[in-house]
Parts: sequence; C-alpha cells; structure tokens
Amino acid sequence: MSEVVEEQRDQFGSKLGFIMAAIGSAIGLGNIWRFPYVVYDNGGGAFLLPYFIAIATAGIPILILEYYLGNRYQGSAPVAYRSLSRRWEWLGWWQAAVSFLIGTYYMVIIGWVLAYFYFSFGSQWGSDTEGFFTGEFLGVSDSFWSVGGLQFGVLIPFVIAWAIVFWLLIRGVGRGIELASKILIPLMVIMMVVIVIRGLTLPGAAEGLNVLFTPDLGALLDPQVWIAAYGQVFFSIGVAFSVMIAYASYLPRRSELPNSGFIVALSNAGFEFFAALGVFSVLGFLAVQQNTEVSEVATEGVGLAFIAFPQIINQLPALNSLFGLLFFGALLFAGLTSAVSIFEVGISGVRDKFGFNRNRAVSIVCGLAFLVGLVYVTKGGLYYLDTVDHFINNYGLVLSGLFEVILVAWVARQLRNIQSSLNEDAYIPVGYWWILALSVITPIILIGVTAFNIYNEFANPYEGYPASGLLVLGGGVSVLVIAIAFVFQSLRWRRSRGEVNR
Amino acid sequence: MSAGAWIMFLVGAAFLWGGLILSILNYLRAGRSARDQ
Repeated sequence: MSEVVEEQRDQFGSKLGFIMAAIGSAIGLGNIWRFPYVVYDNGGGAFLLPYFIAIATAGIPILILEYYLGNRYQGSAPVAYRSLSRRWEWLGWWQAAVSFLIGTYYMVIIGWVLAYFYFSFGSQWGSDTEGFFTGEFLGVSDSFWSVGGLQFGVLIPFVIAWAIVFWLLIRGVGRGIELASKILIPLMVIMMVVIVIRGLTLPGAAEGLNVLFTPDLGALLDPQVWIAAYGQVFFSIGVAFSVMIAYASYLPRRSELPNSGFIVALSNAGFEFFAALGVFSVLGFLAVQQNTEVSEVATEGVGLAFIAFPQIINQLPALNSLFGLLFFGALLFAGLTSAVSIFEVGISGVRDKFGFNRNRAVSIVCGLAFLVGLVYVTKGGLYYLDTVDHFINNYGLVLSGLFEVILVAWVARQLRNIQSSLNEDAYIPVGYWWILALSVITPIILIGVTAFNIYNEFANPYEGYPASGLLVLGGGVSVLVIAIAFVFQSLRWRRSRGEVNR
Repeated sequence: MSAGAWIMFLVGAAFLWGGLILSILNYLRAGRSARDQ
C-alpha cells in the first residue's frame, strides 16, 4: 500500500475554523455586487419577504443537508452520493465539474479585482470608466467569435491571483483554507464597515437607501420576484456547489451541524444586507453628483464594480484611493475565500477516488483550471465568461441541486433517518419543516425556476449573442460537464470506502 | 427615507442580524456547557 493512501483525512483545527471557512465560501463577489441590485429590482423592501422565506425553506435546509452528507460519509460529494445510492456517484462529479468550471472564470474576475485594487492608487481608470474597462483594460473584441490574443494586462493579475489560491490550497485545509478565512473574513467585514459608514455620510445616501428599501407590495404577486429570491439564496449560499459537503467532511464525525448551518446562512445573508447599505448609499451619492435619478445609475455585477464604482471613487471629495482600496480589497478577500472552496470540491473528489496526495491533486486540478481559464483572458473572454456563467448557473447548479434533493428525499428516502441523526447532536433540533422544505418545497421551486429559465432562453436569447455561441459555450458546455461526470463515475476507485472515510 | 423604507430596513436587520446573534449565542452557550461538563 502506498504512502499516499495511508494519509489521514485533512481536518479543520476547530469548529470555529470550519464555520469561518464555510462563511468565507458562502460570502463571495455576488454578496457585494449582485444582492443589492436584486433587492432594488424585485420590489425593494418587499423583496425581503420572499427572501426570508427562501432562506428558511431552501437555503438553511439544503445547507444542513450538505453538512450532514459530508460529515456522515467523511468524503467528498461523489463519496456521499455513492454511499446513498451506488448509481448516483455521477451527481457528485457533476457538481464537482460545475464548481470547477465556475472556478475557471471566477479566477479571471479575481484577477480583474486585483488589477483594480492596483488601479485604485491615483484612480488610474481616468474619467471614462466604461471605456477604460472594456477598451484599454479588457480590450474586448468587436464580435463574439473574434477571440483575439491574450490580454496581458489581464493575464498578469490572473497569474498572481492563481499563485495566491494555489499556495493556500497546497498548504491544506488547516494551515491554508482555515487560516486564510480566519484572517481575511474579519478584515473584509471591517473594510465593509468603513465603506458603509463613509457611504452613509455622503450626500444622497438617504435617497439611495430610500430607493433600495421602499416596498412595492404589488411585486409579491409576481412569480419572477419569488424566483429571484430563491435564485439569490441558492447562488449566494453556494448550495449545490458541494463545497459544504467537502468542508463538513473535514470535521470530526458527529459534529453539531444545524446551528452551524444557521450561523453560516445568516452570516451570509446578514453580510449582503449590510453591503447593500454601502452600495446603495454610494449609488445615491453618484446620482446626486450626476444630477440624475438613482434608477439611472443603479446597476449590478461587472458594471457596478468596474464601471460605476470607479465613477463614484472619482467623485468622492477626499481619500479617493483609500475608498478604492477598501472596496476592491473587500471584493478580493470575498473572492479568494470563495475560490479556494470552489477548487477544494474537485481536489477532495479526486483525492478520495484516486488516492492522490494533496500536492498532486492540487497541481492537477489547479493546473487544468488555469489552462481553461486562459480562454477568458483573451479579447473575446468577456463574451465567453458571460455565456458560460449564465448557462452553468441557471442549468448546472439549479438542476444538480434539484437532483440532489430528489436523490436524498425520494430515491434514497433518507430524510427521516438524517433528521434523527442530526438531532442527536444538535443545539437546535431540526423539525418537520426541514423534511417538508427538502422533499416538497425545494423541488417544486427548482422545477419552476428551470421551466422559467428554459422558456426565457427561447423567448429572449441571452444578451443577443449569436445562436452558435450560445449553443457551443452555453448548451455544449452544460452537456459536457454531465458527460465528464459519467466518465468519472465509470473510472475505478483506487481507495476503498474505509480508506476514504478514515 | 420614507416610513416604508425604514420599516423594511428594520425588519431586515431584525431578522438577519438578530437571527445571526441568536445563533452565535447558541454556539457560545453550547461551547461553555461542554467545557463545564
């Protein structure tokens, strides 16, 4: 037997370390740049009602389930699903492949953030922030299939971001992921507190928050608002990435799990709610400076971080560079702690199945992800990133999450057993609501979300991109990850269950 | 801010931050009782 196989399973140094790592995984770029706009765009303050219901009926229940699966079977998602039903190992590989693919472009975005962190010194983006981002920085090509060459201004921060993530992953669960989370998460929160305080003291902040929170109660009758709430909770907490399965497998068996689920889910939601105060107060400030309405400047995602925020930083009366460093620093820390968790899914999977040591598994997974990521560093990269992101989130994550709850609730029929097992060690016992949420509410909602997404795909082709692009990089990639999952299932296990679970 | 906006902000803060504080207190209390045993 090789030395590799005899390695002990990695462990978090403490329960606190696990919770911090899980919070680091859950809090990502989307908490800062997506959530505030989703609230604004879906009924303002009224959105909070479906959002709370989604947290209670999908976010927390799935999170607790994933903790249980990882902790009970002491393995990654393929091990956990295979243990529930031998024929369902592919689902774990599907989630691992989806996470891997998301990680490939997530690293490119972290590279952009790193570059903008540097550009914050002296507001190097100039006055035309949109022209700088799409032109000088990304060098976006004229059309979808004009790949262009590598964009060196993006390649350099991309390589640096990868060096940091690779180093953290090589150091392992305790000395890498856990330590980084314990340092970076408090720092990120402190940075966000400063951003919010500065934002709230700017002229126009009250108007921004008024637009954000004023409830449009009529929105509660719109099914799209409910879909948006479930989508936000699903993507934000990061269920169906199977990160939480991998992380919980690094805890001693029979650890307390439900209360940790509440802490992580509410930290994630509480942070994005807090970040929304900062984002909309500075958007209110921007609207005042431009003598326009908040609705004219409200935006999300890449447009918010790399176009609107540099504009805001340009307009600040003082300490412009410091505000830029705080904002892009907070994004960077949120991104890094999520990125390491996304790659840990694949690393734990291949280690469990093939018995690789950590260095080898990290090198293979990260090396391959780096090479795939180079596609997004080209001049056409923004189109490809946008397309893959849209499809892999809307179909890969949502559908694999749907299969996950169907497997546990309806195929393996394990929810009652899991509930009693969870409650043996729980600070907060999980009640019947947990079973109802996972067996009925979540599947119905996810089926509804998928049906809506498919309808929308045909009614409004995404971003007006060419059909060939959507077919190859959207549909093609989504199908490819499923094929990869079945190939991995067919490969022979090099480690026995006992060895995996040790 | 309008009254409606204030109410929704307070409801959000109470649910999310209040819930978070309660779950952290639960965690700390359980840790203390485990040490006491």
